[in-house]
Amino acid sequence: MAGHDNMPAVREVRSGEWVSRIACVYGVADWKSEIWRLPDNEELRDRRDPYVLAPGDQLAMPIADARKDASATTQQHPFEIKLVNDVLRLRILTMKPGKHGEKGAPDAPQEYEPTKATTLDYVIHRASTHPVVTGSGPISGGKAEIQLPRDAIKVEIRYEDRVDDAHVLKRRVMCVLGCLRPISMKDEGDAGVGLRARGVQQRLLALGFAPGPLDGVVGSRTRGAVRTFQRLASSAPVKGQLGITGDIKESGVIDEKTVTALRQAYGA
Amino acid sequence: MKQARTVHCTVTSKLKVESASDPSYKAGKGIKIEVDATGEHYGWPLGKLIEKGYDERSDTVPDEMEVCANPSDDPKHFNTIAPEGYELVKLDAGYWGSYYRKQTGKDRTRTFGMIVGHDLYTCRFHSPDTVHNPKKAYNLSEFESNIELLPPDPEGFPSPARKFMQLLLDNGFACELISHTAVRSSRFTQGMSDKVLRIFIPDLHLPERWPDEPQTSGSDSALCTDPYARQLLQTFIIGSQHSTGALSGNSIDKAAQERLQLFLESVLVDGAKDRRFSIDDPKTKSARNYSADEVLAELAFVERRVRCASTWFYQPVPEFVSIKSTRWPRLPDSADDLIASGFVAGAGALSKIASGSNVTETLGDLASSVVDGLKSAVKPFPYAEQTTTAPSNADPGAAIDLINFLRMIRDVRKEAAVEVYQVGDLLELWMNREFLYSDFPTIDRNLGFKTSKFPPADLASIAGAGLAGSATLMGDGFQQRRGPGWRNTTRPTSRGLRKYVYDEFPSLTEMLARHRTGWNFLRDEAKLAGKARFDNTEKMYAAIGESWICLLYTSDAADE
Repeated sequence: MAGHDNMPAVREVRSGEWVSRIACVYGVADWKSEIWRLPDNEELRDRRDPYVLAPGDQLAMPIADARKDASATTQQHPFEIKLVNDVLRLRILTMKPGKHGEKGAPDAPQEYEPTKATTLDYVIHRASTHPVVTGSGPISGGKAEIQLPRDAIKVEIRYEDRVDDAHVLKRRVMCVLGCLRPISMKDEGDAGVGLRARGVQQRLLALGFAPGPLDGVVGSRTRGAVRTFQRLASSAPVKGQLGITGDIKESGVIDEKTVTALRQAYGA
Repeated sequence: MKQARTVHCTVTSKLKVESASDPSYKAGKGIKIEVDATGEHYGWPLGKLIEKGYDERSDTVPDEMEVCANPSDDPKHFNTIAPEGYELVKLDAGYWGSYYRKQTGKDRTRTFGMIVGHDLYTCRFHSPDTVHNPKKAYNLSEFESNIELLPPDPEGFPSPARKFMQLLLDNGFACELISHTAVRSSRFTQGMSDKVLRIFIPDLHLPERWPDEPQTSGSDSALCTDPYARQLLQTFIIGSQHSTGALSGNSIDKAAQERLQLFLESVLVDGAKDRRFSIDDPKTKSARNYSADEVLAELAFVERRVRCASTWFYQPVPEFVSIKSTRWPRLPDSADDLIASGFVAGAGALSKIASGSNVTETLGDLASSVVDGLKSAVKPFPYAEQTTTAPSNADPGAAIDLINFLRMIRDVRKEAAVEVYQVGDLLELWMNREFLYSDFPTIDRNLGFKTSKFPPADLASIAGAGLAGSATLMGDGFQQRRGPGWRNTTRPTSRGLRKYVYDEFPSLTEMLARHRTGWNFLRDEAKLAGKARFDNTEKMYAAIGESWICLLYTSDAADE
């Protein structure tokens, strides 16, 4: 066991954090076994994806156990804690505006079609004073993966998006890490409903169903976006494309099946 | 414009219109599906409009997206992004009438638009009563299933659209859903509550044929004697009132429109009667010159014919009265009263009929009222007084249907929030007014008007209906429209001549507010109008009270 001397017994999660990130802060190498699988985190594990926490979640931390090493004085002794770097894994879909189905419903997002520029450029912004990390990587099968430094806070990506035969748009999206909200139906009360609504709005927006402001309030726009998603997610082609396994009914209501379908469609 | 037409436009994240397409387009009609990405469609600068009306767009095209980090060893854990540009859907509310259209049974021209929340519909009103050709009779029951095409009711309250469609069925009518489009939530759709049904009444072309269509030859010495020259000039004049752009099929561009406006101003305001107007003749590849009188006479002819073709209820001839009880038994009593006094709009017309004047005098009165913008400058004005007798075989079916339709709207407003927009050009004429917004004082500062005296801006035929944003509006051809900037586009505002040529409307919000037929809106404006156009307010109220459109204002249900 390793750890930081100031590590609290219970850590309240803040926005922009996830379990492995918190583990990094306190120098915990194996976050799964040393933090996430602690018995005290059983209830949280039941509700949460360790990468999708909510601000205010109470995460039990291990008892710090400083390692003792005998070393000679007047010498430098490097110590390395082997932390696992996370990634930002993106599935890019294309919305083809202006095309509607027979019943007038908007199309679901389409598979990403490669353009001449087959790469995705990125700029990783960091919490520390370290310079930003720039780079580019391939978009393969509509997916791209970016290695994250431990202090990454947001990643700006740029890529080309073929919206139709004649038009290629240059997309620019700033991905803010650790801010995706959970959508567990086990969160209760007004706070739980608001949290879930926010998470639903985030995923709908990401999937192209702009639900209005990400305010955690289920208003007419959010309801309309949910309905549109449900309508599309009930069709076999869209289900297959987005990886949705269950049946879903168009109602405008955020229910268990909708949450599950959204989680599947979004990927987290 | 084709009836019940929906055109989809693609707008980029930079709010430029990239393309417009008409899914129902059939090749060979001379209209391109795709138009250039100039941002102008139907002569309508969508990009400019959007930029003006909706600056914020972060929720639709997010600069930032909130994501999660992903474990490096679990490829099934990822984030999805599908950023999207704006989408606009134009909804043409259609056409109501039979003029120029074949009245073929189920496919009759009784179209209107409905918007509920995120759902847009083009619809057709059906009434078996007014189909008096047995071969074209149909059973309303075949439209009953249309109600099932509506989306599920919103939480906690029944859809007002469902109520309306059910009410129609309960009363022996039907609403057929012709097309449906659901738009995504976005900032554009803000305020479009799914608790409110918005009904858009389109252009109304009620008579089957105007009995008083101007003769194409004869009585005015000012008209060109060469039929081809007349046709060329007419095309130009009509085109000047159309929107421009590829989809509108208008060969007259904006520069030409403005040239006509300048010419009219110089002749009518400055008195430059010796000026000549030239039009390029595609046949001879040379310019053809017209005198001021020729232009004005032809313009008056076109004006008159447009109005003749679209603005009149038939007066009930004796034959109609005798067949009414068998053909239209469900016409309400109050409509009977209206029929008894004539389907002619406005206090002047009604009072004349009521006092025994014949239809020709009434028409003359009506016609003279609609051309006053030019009448003083063109003497004699040959077509204002030229009238003939209405045919005895007139088909008032469109008017009957309209009355019943309005009656249904009135009734549904007692139990549902319904807003009604008249987006054609007939409301004004029902009021015995040239255009409701022409020379019309507007005091609604919420629309951005800074003075109480607002210049003519009738925009009379925005034939579309829109979601605030994701759906938008389209113009129709063949009617006059004027934008709020018409006075200062070419000359100072003091010139006093209405703008003749087409102007696009400035913003969605303003357009909707102008065309909203709310009680408060009309009553206040009517008072002002009464001062301007009637001898006294009492007459103005009488005009309103005797018009069937007043049905829409008698309920307090949906007025905000």
